[in-house]
Amino acid sequence: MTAPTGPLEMKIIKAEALKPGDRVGLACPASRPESTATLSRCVKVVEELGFQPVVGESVLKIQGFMAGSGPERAADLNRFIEDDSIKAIFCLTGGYGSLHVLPFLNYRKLASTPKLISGCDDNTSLINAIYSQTGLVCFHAPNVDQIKTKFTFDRFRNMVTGSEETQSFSTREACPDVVGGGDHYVPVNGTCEGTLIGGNLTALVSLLGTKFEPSFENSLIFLEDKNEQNGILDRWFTTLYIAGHLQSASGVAFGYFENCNPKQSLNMLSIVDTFGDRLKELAKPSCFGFPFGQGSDTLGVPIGVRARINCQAGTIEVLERPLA
Amino acid sequence: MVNVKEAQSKQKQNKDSLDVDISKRTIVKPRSLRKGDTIGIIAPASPLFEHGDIEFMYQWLQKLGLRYKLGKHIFETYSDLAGTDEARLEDFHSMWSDPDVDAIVPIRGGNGAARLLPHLDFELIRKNPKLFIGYSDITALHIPIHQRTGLVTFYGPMAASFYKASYTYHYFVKAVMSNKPIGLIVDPVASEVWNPKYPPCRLVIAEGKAKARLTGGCMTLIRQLMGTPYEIDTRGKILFLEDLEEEPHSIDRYLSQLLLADKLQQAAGIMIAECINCKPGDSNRNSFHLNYSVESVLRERLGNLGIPVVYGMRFGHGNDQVTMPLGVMATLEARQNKVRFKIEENAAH
Repeated sequence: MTAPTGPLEMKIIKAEALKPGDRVGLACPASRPESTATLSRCVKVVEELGFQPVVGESVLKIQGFMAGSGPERAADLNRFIEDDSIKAIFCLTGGYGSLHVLPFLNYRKLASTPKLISGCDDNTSLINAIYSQTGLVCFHAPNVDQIKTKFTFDRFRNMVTGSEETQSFSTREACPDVVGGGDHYVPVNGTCEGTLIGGNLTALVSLLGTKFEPSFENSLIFLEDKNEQNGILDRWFTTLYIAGHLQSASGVAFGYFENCNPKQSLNMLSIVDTFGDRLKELAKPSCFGFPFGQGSDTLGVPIGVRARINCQAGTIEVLERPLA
Repeated sequence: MVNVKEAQSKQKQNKDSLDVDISKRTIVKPRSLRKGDTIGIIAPASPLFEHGDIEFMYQWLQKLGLRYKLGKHIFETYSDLAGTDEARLEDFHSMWSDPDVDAIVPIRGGNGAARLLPHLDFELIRKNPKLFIGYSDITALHIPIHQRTGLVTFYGPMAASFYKASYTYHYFVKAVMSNKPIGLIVDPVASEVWNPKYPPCRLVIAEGKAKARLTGGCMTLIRQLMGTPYEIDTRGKILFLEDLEEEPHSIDRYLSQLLLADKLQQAAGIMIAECINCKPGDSNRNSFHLNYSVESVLRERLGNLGIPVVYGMRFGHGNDQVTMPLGVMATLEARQNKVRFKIEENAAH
């Protein structure tokens, strides 16, 4: 049986599930962690998950808002990529800066010895770039500094150890006790299948026009963002629209848009309405209210695997194992 | 149901392929504005919040001896846009096809011009070269219109702002109401010798010399077009960039994306205007605890490209704003003790 191929006929590669005692590299491809206490806590979280944390050399450096220069952050990642004893790389924090490391990574080595790569927020750029360059299934999952609640911890552990045969997400998980379905909203109903691509909207759009851009053909795009102004989010959504990517996609799923609101702009409708109007125009199956995001209480989403969305029901079912 | 990709392939069939090197495309200059001419006022992006602001515009147009026509939909609203995409598009196309209209000037930028792009009739624009003036969100129209039709368009103050300062007005008139080159750009005279305003008008980030055609606009918008059929072509150009209310890390993001796409490396020179309210926290959104300044971002990202890079000139969202014509030849010379920027070619005939 031939190996499954991605949208561009690229061979999909999967990392091995993690086992207790595995060495896991902790890196900061973007911002520096808020404090040294954050780093200690992250190390403890990884130990509690059952793994051996290996902390990157530049994680506490300060260069502007970043954990060291682009080459320094890339060198940390390459040290992990080139070390066969390290089975996974977890991003510690998001912020901004992962674009700087992209030209320096050893993609060839990563493709030949795949590792489990996980991160979100600004690291969306990193994981979608890695996927587009190598075909490796990566995980849009909380940065370690956001693994705080039992809910997030348990789901993260299940994800990286492959203890769930298949994953599924439901908008009901985002708000189990809220009457009226919480943020579940369906601009265009439908059930369809696509390859999961996406994460943070701002960071995803940062790859467009570069060689690190992932393919959106037959994709199931999932999007989230935080602390942004609705008008600016509308801009990036418009980019996806005028580039034809929304049309190429099978469907679009939306997670948390924490603290996203008009800010100082006037008369701005919610993103549900301004994104919704384009989705309706394109008759594109779409659904708001999924529990993906960048904060705690968010679930990990594998990038590069097939999934089926049922907008009316508010569910996404991942159709293949994201790990080898 | 709208088929964006079908609309875009129709655009391509009309010979407007972005594959054609813009330098091989004939530059088309509009007729300069004269007394008695008619300005078509449209709102392709956001509406005027205070309708009364338009009175100032009427007064100034009268002073210049210009007439005006208002787009049918310019006072409509839909979210932060001046009406639905269809309404804004209808005004845009009807002004371009109106033989009595000599210049098209949006009332305001804001948000939303890019949404019109898949349905824009570039063939109509090419057949009817007119003066097109605007900035900020209007960048999303400037870049594709200039690149697909060869028309010289004007990155400058709009209908509701060309009178915001005498410096701005002076360069606006030189750009659009003359058939001579704008010439040497001189900085605004400080009203006070004390308390100088940061940035200085000509901060050299990298030395060098370039003679090339101009292109550029607002960074947020240039980034909005990346990866789309309307993205900017910077090959061999003097690229002018500016922005408003962005965190320094957002500016870094836009420049980093352009670098990853080779856009900045392909330019002959780069000019960054004073970026208004781009200090950490000024945007009131997504600000960080640890910070870089815009100047540090520019030095780090643009300092080693081997082309001249100058920061601080006044062609952005400030009150002092030079009108920059896309597509005309200009020279930029940057040495540590001297920066010279001259627009060599006339933008209108």
